[in-house]
Amino acid sequence: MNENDQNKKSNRIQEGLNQRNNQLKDGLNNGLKYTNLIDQLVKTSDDYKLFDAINSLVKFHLNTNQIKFVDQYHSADYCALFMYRFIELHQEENFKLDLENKSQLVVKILGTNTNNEFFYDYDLENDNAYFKDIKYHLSIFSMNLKHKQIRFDGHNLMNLFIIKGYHQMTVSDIKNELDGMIQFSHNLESKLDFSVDLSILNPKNNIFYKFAKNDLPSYIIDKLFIGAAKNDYMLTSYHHTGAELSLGQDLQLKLFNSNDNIPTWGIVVNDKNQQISWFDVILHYDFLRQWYLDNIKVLEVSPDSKTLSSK
Amino acid sequence: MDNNQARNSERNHNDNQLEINLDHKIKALKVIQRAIKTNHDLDLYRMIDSSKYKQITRDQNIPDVNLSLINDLNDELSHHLSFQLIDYLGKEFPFFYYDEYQLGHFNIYFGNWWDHKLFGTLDVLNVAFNFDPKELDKLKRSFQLESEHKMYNSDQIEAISKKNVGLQQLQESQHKRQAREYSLREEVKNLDSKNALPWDANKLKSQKQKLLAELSHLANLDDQAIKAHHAIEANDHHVLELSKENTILEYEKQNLRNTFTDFQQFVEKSNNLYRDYILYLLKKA
Repeated sequence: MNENDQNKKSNRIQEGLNQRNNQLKDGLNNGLKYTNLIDQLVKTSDDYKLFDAINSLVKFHLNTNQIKFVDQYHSADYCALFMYRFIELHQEENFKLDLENKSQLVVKILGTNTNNEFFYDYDLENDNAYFKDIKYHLSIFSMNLKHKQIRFDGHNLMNLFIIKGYHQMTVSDIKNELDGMIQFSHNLESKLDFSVDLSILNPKNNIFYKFAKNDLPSYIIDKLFIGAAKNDYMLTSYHHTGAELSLGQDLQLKLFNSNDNIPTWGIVVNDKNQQISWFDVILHYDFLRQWYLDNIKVLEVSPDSKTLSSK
Repeated sequence: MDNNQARNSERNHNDNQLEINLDHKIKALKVIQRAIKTNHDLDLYRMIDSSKYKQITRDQNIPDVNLSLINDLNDELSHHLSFQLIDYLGKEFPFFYYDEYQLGHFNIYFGNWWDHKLFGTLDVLNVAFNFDPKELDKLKRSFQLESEHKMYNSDQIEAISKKNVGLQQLQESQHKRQAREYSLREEVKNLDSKNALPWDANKLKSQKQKLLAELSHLANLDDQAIKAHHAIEANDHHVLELSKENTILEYEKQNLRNTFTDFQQFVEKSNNLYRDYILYLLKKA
């Protein structure tokens, strides 16, 4: 090996060392950037800073070629952390979360005895974070950070709270739990400009809750007529083929076909203060819940009412 | 007087008479027109059927106007008279609803509840209900059944429900039947394989026939069990229809009681509608 070769070799070694060193520095800087984001997520009381932190964290690649970190959170966990912090900032008094560190972060809702536990399931492909219950893996809502949307899943809400879990929870616990989630959505709307689709939890009077089956056979209305009569409520006719049920002075249900060409049956809930949703009605009136469950194949909340598909 | 003169005189006489008659009719039409313009329904009813009107009011001073003049305008007249009449009926029979399905023609519906019944028609010109006798009878019968603590369709619902219990048992006993069928077939096979002695032949034959008879009876039950599913469903639908009718009849009874002391009073009131209405209009006038 001549002197020239020798020089070349040591240059190469030095280059390699430099390169490795720079990669290490990059990796450490990346890690530092990460810890700053975590600091921001944990400490900030500014909504937009909190939102920026989570937005960066769900897509953050912490590992580099040279530096691997053990025991990392997943994208889904940051969503749970975000929810925790956001609720802490705005809702602490009536609705509080507890996080439990299992294989992933588990969200518990304090102050109610529903014993429901939730987790986030993050779909990297469409940027949707699904808030699911642990027992049945039913997605209660999906949160899309990129498009700033939150969409409740009416079908799954009915399934979890009315069909599967109704007898394990009290009506007021169910109500409190969902009210907390609705409040969370409204805060996202007002503080961070999210768009919110409450589905069957929407208490507005102009919401038409479409049924799964387009056609509503009249014998199903007959059943409601008989069930209502037994409970001292009178079902009356509404617009030729439809029916109306008055549950007191301030609360009316209207069942009707909203389309003359293709049958499109559904229900509208009208109350004076626009505080009562179709879900609330089913939750509180036994005979209506029974009617809903007895005819679930027809009356089920239409999947069409979901804007985002849910897994 | 020659022939021509006679004919002329006859013609003049005829024309005079014609003019008088036309004059009467024009006057009559004017009376009708005024009555309509001024909403004097009482005058119109007096013209529609003066003898009936006279019986009620004992008014001998009936004008010589007959509404047959405007027979072709009955529908329009009925429409005109319906406003005040239906207003009156709303107070006297508050549970009836009217649908003018064609000008001057009215259907009567009982109540405003889901699937309320078409209970008859309203004859505005004669101030009369024409109830559907079948519906009226159902209502009468439901009142009578109250003393037995029954509703109109109670017995029928009970009978169908019993049938359904039987059908469900038929479905549920399917397994038992299959086991029995299997053992019966085995017995038949057994008999067939036996080499019967001549004096036993008749006995074996009758044994086999007994077994086959039971098998065919069971097959028949199997058949029914297969059809039971549809039969149960059809029965459930029938019960639903009957329960609905019970509910409707209950509402009808409740509504009658809110206005009348009993069914009889309702019927009497309905039959006296013409008299009551005319007296009401007289009092108002």
